[in-house]
Amino acid sequence: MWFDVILGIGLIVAAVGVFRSDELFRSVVFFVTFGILLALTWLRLQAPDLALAEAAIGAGLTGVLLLDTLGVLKRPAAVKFNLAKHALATIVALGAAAGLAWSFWTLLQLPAPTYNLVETLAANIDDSGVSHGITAVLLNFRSYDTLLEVAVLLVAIVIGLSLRQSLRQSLRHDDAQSDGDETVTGATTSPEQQAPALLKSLVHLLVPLLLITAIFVLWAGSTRPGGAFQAGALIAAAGVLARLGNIDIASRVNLLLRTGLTIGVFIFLLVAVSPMLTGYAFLAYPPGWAGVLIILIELMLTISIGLILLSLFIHAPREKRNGGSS
Amino acid sequence: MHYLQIVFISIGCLFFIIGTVGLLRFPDVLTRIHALTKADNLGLGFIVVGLIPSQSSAADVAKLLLCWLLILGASSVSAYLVANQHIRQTRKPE
Repeated sequence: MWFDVILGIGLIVAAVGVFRSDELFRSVVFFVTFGILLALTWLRLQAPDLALAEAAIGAGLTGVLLLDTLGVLKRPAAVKFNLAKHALATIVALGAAAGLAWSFWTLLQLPAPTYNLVETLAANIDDSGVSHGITAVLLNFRSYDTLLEVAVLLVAIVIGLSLRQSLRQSLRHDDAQSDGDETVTGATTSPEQQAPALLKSLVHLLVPLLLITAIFVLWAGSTRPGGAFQAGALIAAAGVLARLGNIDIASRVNLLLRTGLTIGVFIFLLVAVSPMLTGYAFLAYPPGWAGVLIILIELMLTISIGLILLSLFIHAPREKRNGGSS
Repeated sequence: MHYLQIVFISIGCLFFIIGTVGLLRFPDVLTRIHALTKADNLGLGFIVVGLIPSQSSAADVAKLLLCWLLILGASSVSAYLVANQHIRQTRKPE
């Protein structure tokens, strides 16, 4: 009880800290803290699947992405106090709070739902091909949502890769104009490129462990908390670590990487559409095939999600950081 | 056994509190790292030892110990990296 109260207060404090910090770095630290507290909250609500995903993606990978962005920003733009903007933000925030309060109030007024989702799930889980409820919902009963989610991820990385192309071209244009600037930045970034030996040996130890854990989490998904998103996040974490230890992974956008990025959505769509040829509905697994197909989709999704999250980190546009890649 | 567990976990928590106080009170990066790693290594170690008797299987004990070892490795290497970067930055102007 008291732990939950402290957890709730901590969540609010961390959320306020994200927005009220003077330094961007402090905001990022608060953001990661918020993610970890949120993962703990999911655990307390007995949702370990969500807790795993939040800790790995929300706190871990997003934190890494934000820190990486901070490193690229030369000088964080100083935020000047602007009365009109503050007033507008206050009005918007108050309006959103009022809307939330109103919807919460109407929710309380509604009659209790007559159907019981947990019981419905328990009654139908034998048809789903897996024995873990969350996976059954994600990849069988509501697989349409999951398909859209991974499609959104794919769109994100496609946009990321194209932004990188255009930014790189504009940077090259800048390089041509100012030569003196480049030598200065080149001198400051060169020591970072040699990863310390200690870091390298830790990376050599951790990356295989992370990959083994990812496979375990993927496999566990059919019977226990786990699944493609968590396993993909672990793979991405292994890739980020390897990258920090200056091991070159997926730094070139070649055919292999592109195939890996898209294969999850591709196989998912293939499995979703092919039953229609024999008269079943879209996304309906043929009887008896559900378990195998779910494992297949999850395996492919893990590869794609891992590579997409990793590529978002590796292919983020960096300013004039030569070497290291390719 | 139960009381022994309480003693171990309390000692572990004490190390975390001391580490946090050190992190807040020590003047510079290097001494703060010292305080933090003490909390990670000893505090977590005591808590893991305190939790071992209430595990039902050897596999769970192994997982707990693995957690401790991994955090030991990660915290010592990251402490080294932070200290290394700090020294590099402070020595540069000379």
